[in-house]
Amino acid sequence: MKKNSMMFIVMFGLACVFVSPVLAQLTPDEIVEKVDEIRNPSYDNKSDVSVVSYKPNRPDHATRYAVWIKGKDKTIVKTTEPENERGQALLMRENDFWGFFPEVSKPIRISLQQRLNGDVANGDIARTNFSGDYSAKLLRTEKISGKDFYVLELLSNKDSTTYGKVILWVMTENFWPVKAEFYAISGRYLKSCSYEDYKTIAGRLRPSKLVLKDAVVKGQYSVITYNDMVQAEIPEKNFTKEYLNKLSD
Amino acid sequence: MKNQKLFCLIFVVAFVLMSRAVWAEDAAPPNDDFVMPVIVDKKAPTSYIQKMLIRLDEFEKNLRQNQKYLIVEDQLADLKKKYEDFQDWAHIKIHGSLENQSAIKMYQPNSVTKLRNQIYLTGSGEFSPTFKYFVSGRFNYDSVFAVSDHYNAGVESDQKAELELRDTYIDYSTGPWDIRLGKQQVVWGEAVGLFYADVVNAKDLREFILPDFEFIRIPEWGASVEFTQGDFNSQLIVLPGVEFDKTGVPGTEFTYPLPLPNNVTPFTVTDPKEPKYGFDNSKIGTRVSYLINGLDVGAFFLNSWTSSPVMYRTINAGVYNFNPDYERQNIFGVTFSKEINDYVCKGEAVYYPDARFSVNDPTDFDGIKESGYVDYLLGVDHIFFNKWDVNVQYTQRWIMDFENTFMNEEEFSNGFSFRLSRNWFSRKLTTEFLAIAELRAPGFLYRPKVSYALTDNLKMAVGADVFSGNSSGLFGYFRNQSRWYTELTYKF
Repeated sequence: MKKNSMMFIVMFGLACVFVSPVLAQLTPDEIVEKVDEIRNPSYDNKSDVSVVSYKPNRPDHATRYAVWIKGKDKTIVKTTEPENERGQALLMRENDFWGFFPEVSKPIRISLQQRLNGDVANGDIARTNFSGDYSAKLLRTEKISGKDFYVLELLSNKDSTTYGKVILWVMTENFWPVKAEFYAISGRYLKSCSYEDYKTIAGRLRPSKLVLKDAVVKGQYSVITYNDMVQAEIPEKNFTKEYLNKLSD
Repeated sequence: MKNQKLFCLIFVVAFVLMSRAVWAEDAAPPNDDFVMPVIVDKKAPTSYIQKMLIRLDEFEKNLRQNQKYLIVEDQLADLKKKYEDFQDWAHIKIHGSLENQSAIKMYQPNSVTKLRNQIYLTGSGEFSPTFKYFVSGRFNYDSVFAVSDHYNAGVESDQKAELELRDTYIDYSTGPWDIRLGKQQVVWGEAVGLFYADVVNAKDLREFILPDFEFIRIPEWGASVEFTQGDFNSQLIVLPGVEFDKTGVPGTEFTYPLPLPNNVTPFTVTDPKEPKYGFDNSKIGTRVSYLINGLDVGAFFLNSWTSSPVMYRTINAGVYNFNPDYERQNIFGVTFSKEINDYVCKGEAVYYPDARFSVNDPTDFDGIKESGYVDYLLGVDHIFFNKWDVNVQYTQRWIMDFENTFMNEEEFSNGFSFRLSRNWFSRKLTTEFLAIAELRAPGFLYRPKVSYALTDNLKMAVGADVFSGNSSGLFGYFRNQSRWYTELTYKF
């Protein structure tokens, strides 16, 4: 028993010696990649997402979506509830977007701007990746409630990104994203996001709830809840505008 | 009174179908001793399966609280298992809508022109991940015939009650191939609010272009095969179940004008013979599209029938005798769309090489001359101030072998459309405005609409369809058909 304990301590010591320099040498972009691995699995997946939007003196608005993601730049967001909006879908293929509306039964090309319209940007729902779309810079490290955090500045390097700039708080010990602030390309502070309720989703601890607070209107916020996420082999052809009228719930 | 009873009957039938209790009870369950605790209430479920499971839980709680009906845990678990088996066995999701559409004429005598109640049902499911099915149908009953004598008996026979099988097909997917067999809509084109490249399906034009486009198109029986590889898509369609435009019988609100010269009143019209279903009469078409650097380009060809008959005519002793007939025709088209700095630019052009035009020339032996023509459209979409969704489209028709005798046509005729929409109050309220203009015989169609979601399922809308302009154009011709309307839609 004593021998085993000693062996464990030695191995742990060696692991610390070898691993810590590796972590210490992580570039800001590599940290963002690790954050992305937590926010969204790297493999194709299908998820069931609920969004409730709250506005002062307005009725709550609840929606539910089926979301299919392939790779880093192909996403379909299909509305499953409420019934009044069921069947509407949005296809995002890197810089190209199409909407599908049951009453016209055909895909309609839409702009990035239309993609961002609404209480919650579709990029938020789809958990689109930061890495690749943003260049990261480590601003500082912070200690909050006894925990160490990287504070990263992410600047958009593509026209198709949801936001111009993101400030991201990441726990140093496990790369969990905890908070983010989103800014428009103009520099205007748009909203904040807190990543909450870490649960095992698709085989790993991931935030199951995102609370997005509007930076301008006090009391206006949206809660995105990931009810389910499963790994799924999704054919490439499903992410074409021609396939939008063949989607199942 | 009779009408009220009939409406009540329809409502009850719709309600029963909507609750799906009938379906759940009548369909053969996997085991004979299957017991379904169905509680029909007036809250139509958004998700039947979820609601049923909740009811099952409530049922379970009630059983536990009431010693008289206490049953053991295993039996309840067994009941749930059977219900889950039943869902798997049935493989179906049912949705639909109940809708009331009412309309009243804007001008004297302000007649009520529509009190239509519609039930629309869809069922879909999967035999396997690659093998799916979809079934849909609707039933219309128009109460206006019971409360008004606005229409004649012919219109009543044509439009009072209608049962229609809508899109009904199976989808099979394997590798890059997708096959759809059945009654279907094939939708090509990029335009908003107008039909240009949308040439495949026949149209139900009994209410002009005012209903939702999904319901204007008439689904047709046939096959569609698609091949998709990367950014390339191609489609081949063969539709032997050919349909033709419905324009309604004389006396309907939107009766289309005959190609008659001014001041000619005596005429006869024979009924056109629609080609029958069959492979010899199929519509055959192909479409290819490719996405390259954000530019989505497509091209298509369709060999089809004229969707409305060619109005051949003879003149005997001053009487115009029309013998309408359908003809085969070829249609070629191209489409494109591209986003440039938040502006979505789109366009489509359709070429009819051997179209037939009615001529205003009594010496012409059949009143028809052939000429090719091109219809094209250029449009742009943009959102202003992050809220106002705007679409503007310019259209032009160019008749290549134009002659002055062509009736109600010019060599070049132009048009515009403008659409503005905005959502308010967390998308509960939507305001829309669509204006379409034709400049040849200046005419306009204005369509303001306000819709409000009363609940997640129930939506109401109020709007107007306002026609104006010169009567030699369709918009002006229909100016007395301007109307106010309301829609109340319950989706489930």
